[in-house]
Amino acid sequence: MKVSSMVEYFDPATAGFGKADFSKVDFSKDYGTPEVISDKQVTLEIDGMSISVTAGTSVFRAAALADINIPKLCASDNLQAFGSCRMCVVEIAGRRGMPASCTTPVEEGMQVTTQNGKIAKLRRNIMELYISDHPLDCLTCPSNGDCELQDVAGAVGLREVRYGFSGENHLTAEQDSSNPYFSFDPSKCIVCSRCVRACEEVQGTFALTIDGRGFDSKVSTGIDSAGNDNDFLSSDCVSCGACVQACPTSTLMEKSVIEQGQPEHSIITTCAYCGVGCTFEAQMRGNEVIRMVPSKGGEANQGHSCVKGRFAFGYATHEDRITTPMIRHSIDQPWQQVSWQQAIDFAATRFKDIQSEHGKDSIGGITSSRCTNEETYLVQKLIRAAFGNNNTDTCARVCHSPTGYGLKATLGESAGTQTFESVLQSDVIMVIGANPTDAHPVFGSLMKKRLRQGAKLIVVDPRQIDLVKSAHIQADHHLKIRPGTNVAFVNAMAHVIATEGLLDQDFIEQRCQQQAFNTWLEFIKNERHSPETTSDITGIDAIELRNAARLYAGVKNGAIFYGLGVTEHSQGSSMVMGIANLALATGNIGREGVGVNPLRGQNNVQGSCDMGSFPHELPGYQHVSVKANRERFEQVWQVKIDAEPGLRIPNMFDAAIDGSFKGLYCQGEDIAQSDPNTQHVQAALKAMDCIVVQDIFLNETAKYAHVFLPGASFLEKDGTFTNAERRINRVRQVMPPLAGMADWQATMALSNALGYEMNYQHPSEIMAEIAELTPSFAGVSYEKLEQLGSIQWPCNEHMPNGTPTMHLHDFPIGLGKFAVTEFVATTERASRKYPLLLTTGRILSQYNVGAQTRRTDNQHWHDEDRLDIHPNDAEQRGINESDWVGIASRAGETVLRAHITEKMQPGVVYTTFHHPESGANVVTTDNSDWATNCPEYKVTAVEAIKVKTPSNWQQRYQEFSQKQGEYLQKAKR
Amino acid sequence: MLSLKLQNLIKMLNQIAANICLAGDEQQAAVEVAHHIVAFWAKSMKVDVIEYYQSDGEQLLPVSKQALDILIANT
Repeated sequence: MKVSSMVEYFDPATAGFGKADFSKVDFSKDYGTPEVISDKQVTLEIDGMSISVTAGTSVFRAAALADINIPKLCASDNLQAFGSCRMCVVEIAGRRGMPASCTTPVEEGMQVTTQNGKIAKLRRNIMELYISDHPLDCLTCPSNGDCELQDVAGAVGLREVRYGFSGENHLTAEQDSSNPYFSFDPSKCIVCSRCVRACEEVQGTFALTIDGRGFDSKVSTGIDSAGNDNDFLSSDCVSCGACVQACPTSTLMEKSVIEQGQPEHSIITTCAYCGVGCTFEAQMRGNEVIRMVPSKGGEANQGHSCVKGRFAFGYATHEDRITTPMIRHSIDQPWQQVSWQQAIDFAATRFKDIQSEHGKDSIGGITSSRCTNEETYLVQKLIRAAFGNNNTDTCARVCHSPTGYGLKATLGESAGTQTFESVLQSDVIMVIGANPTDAHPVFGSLMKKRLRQGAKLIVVDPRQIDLVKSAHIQADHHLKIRPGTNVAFVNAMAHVIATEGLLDQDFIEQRCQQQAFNTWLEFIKNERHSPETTSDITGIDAIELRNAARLYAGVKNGAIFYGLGVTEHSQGSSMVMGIANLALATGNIGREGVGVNPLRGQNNVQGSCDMGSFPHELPGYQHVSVKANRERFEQVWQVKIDAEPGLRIPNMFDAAIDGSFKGLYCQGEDIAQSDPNTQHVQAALKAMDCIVVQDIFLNETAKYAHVFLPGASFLEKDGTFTNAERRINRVRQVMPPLAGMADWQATMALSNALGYEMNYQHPSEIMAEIAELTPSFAGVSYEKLEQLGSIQWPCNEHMPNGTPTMHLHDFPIGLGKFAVTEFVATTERASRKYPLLLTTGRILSQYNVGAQTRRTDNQHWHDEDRLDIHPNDAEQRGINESDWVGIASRAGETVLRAHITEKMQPGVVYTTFHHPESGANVVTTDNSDWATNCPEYKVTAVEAIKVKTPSNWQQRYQEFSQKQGEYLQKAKR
Repeated sequence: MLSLKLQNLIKMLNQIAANICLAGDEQQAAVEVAHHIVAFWAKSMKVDVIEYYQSDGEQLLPVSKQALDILIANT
């Protein structure tokens, strides 16, 4: 994939002789040093060729842009120049000696010679020294065929090593295989420091260093608190793999390559984990993925990745994959393997029978935030057209539905306002209820890069997340908020801004509705919102909050990034509106470096919302009650659309228990594990007559299903995902679907069996229909995606190449609308019976319900969910590290092992929900956001006590799961 | 004893009413609450909660009741 660079170019017209067009940056090539952005151009001569580049560019890069390829070992264009290997030396007219071209910036009129006899001799001598301490096992070396050291040895013409190999050397250095995904073989290390610099500059973890001097220099993973050497696994390493990618030899090497050999072809596709949406090269051998390498041309990730995206793809071919459709009449029966046609007919007949007996509205469906836009579009289309109702919802209900509501109400569009890269222009970054270094790691690294450059940081979180204090990062303010008091906090921030003269009056006058602003101003100035008054509610020191508000409002560019710590509350929607108020009040909207940015949880949660998954909105957030909206869809779909909104997921559960909702089509979503109040969800699932689950594994929900349609992983189909920046990225099939059908094909078959005809030959045809019906997608097509790489919606006649930054000149609703956000305390509060507040979240190595990551070696980092508890709370309860602890709420009880940590504040406990047997959601309640019913996962009043046995629920779960496992085994026989 | 579904509907409606309190203007708040119900609630949910209001309604907040009056008047 090639994407043009706006800034730097090589113009062949100015060159001394005709050459190919180098005006585009080729992302498969390493230009040695990073791109430099400058308005100023410098012209120099390299090997007699005249070359113009931006001022500040290195001689090495200037040469590389003109396809003059100087040999190098320690340079890489994603790292700052280091100048240690001396391989890239050149001669410059009028200068003494031979400077390294990577550390020498271009100058006007400079005359550079990259090749002559003297330079060649020096390079050969340097290479000879390297090779004198390097094993000569090239034929059997894992990096054979992909080794920069080998390539450079060839390029410089090394023919002999005069020093022999008998002297002191590192050839017997011990290998470190502790990391499950890559090995470290120091005998092959040339100490170029690329791994160390990648860990610092790209990932920002600083886990690696060079230890010792001279001959003793070696890459080190540091020492532990007892002074012993770490190995990779016990070190601070987060296994992002940037070091492996940076290594020019096989010192750091993927174990998959060691075991299987070098890949032979590669296909560009998009990661199916979090909402960052990283672009990867799936490097293949035949139909087998050998490794995933983040693509430098990927606009979202710019060549970086995390441990999940790069390494945790093995689940796609895990033995637990179910590849044959299955049916059963009731959930206490064994599964029966059947053909696709039988399974589809069985599902269609049961859905039709239910509707004829219980009415049209008695069935519904859930679209997947893990599937493609095209697949999600088809599922909601099936529900609206074939089921004939609007009972469609998606997992955004339980994560970012308040974002949709709150941003639409204030800014007019249900999406974040910026590109990720925009953070590099921010002066102050405020992170509220998000943990980007764990949940959105690649963006977390970009943010940390900006923080190291000097941007200020405000963290609003009950926990001390890693961003608060880590290597070379220290938050200017950590506002340790009490769970459930977000709106009181955000109002206090706005109060300070409004009463201390920090409002951006010009922006408010020009860009905002005056009446709404005046109402809001009167509301927010009231003393009840002052930090001094709200301090008792939020637990945040008034002076610190005032200083944080002054910091945010006082700089040129203030950017807010938020996550589920904002949305998953009874006032999630109010909080989103409160955040938008802050941005409007300070004029932090409509340019780079500012904005309101929800960090989306799942890969395609933005897309699933865009594609009309919500019961009240057709694709593109077009309300179903508006006749004109319906008519356009009715014309293309040739069917009548119900004018009433349908049921949302929690309403479906209530209706199921009540007996009026009997059938569910659930694609790629595990509601039995991910949704709150598990026992309520289980009761609802048990009450239904027909549940059709389409998934790659027999997930928790499938244990309650009657039809199982085997799903296809992201590697097995074509389509698009839309990330948190509204960026539409192509997903490309790299292997055939294991079960024979991609998910969109299965949905089509079901629709046809239900009597509503769908007949698409390729997902590109589905996208064409989406573009026809969705104004924000009007200009999107597969052809344009091939051409541009990715597109940020809105993409239409006004913005034919998409819209990186939203709301530049106006809002979709014309003027921005301040919202009155009164703090209404949640009913879920600490009491004598339940004195602690439980909040839940994610960890780096696992993803959501863990169905994918639990089936990979990521288990090494997190093989169980633990209860994080402050030492004071633990001591009061006699709880020691790793003790079994019973956590009880009014909804239910579960048992987890304790982890005692000062990262928690007293009175607050935390756990993850990656393992089904943990039952984290047995404890969470059915409290939800007032506007969208997004569950209040982040506030549950609990008590924690030391116990000896699993909870009753856990015992029942184990029995039920074992039984369902047997039913599956019987089907396989 | 109210069904769980109905209890949830009452809770949801009252929560909406509590959050759309516009500086003491109950009439305007009721209009907004009614608008919210029309825009986001499924037909069966509206029918169920109106039925409860007309038969009992004790657990509904005043603004919730006013909103339902608006809904009833418009259907």
